[in-house]
Amino acid sequence: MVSPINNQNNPNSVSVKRCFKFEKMVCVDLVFDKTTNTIQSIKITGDFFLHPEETIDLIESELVGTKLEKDWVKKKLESLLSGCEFYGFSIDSLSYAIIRCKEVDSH
Amino acid sequence: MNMAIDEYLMTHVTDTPIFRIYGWSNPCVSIGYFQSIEDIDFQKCRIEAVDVVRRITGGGSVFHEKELTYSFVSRKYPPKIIDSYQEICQIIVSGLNTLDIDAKFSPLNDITVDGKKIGGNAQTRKNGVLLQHGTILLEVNKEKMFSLLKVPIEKISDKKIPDAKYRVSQVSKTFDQVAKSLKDSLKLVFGCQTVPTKLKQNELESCKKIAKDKYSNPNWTLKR
Repeated sequence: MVSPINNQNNPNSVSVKRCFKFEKMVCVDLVFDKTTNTIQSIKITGDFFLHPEETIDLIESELVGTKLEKDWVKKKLESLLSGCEFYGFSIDSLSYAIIRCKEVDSH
Repeated sequence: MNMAIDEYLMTHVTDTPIFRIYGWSNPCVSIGYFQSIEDIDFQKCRIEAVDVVRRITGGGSVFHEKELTYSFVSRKYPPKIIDSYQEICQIIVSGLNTLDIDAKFSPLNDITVDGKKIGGNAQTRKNGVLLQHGTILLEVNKEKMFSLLKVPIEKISDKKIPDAKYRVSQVSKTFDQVAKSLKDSLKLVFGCQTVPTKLKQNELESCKKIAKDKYSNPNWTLKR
């Protein structure tokens, strides 16, 4: 786990990286705006499987601007992962991982 | 070049599946499509003259040195991910069993002997074609392997054995012995004939181009 880092350019930005062991490893590198509670950038890495693989780029770009609340994130992931095959995480667990990054900041 | 050949085969396979057996001219670390480059010690790889390549398949990082590597490319495969790994890994398990190695398929994508990993597998699927590549460790230098690969603490925290290197083993057979066992196993598992082939010169040229444009390109290797 990487400790939260405040972005010098935007004092409201917080950067957190956390890794989770689901069926496979999933690491979330998240920058979010703590005032608006929205995702500014996100990178999802790990040893999971997702077909087609390029879907990950779409997920990362489409999540930008999304409210950092489980229902919002989950709804977005359900839509983006529709028709994809994946192993190592579920939509619920990936949503949980993303939201947990925010909770690190609040501790 | 190895990853380029696998990609080339994937885009040129006919209705006849391809099973390719290969080794590595230089030690190499391959990282999965979704992995961060920070999951390996990139600097140490450079110092130790170990190549680094990003795969088109998911899964974890692999240190390729004294091993047999294979790829299976097919237009016919079970749609469910776990079923496809099980079916293709049966080639490996049956082959190793004929060498008196008590190999087992360990879902999702490992081959184990006595509970220790001796091989891993990774898949991609594109345009109705499945590519699975995998490894069988013939001889393993665990110290070197785990000095190059970073195993996240979260990955080993729920294991009974805390140190990842105690969960890895080797088959202690020669490349040729294992290669022959896999060829025989293909006939046994699929009930098919195998026809040995080599890439033609023009095909090799195409592979070299893929290797140069993609797999040697830092934009690809460092993309995540």
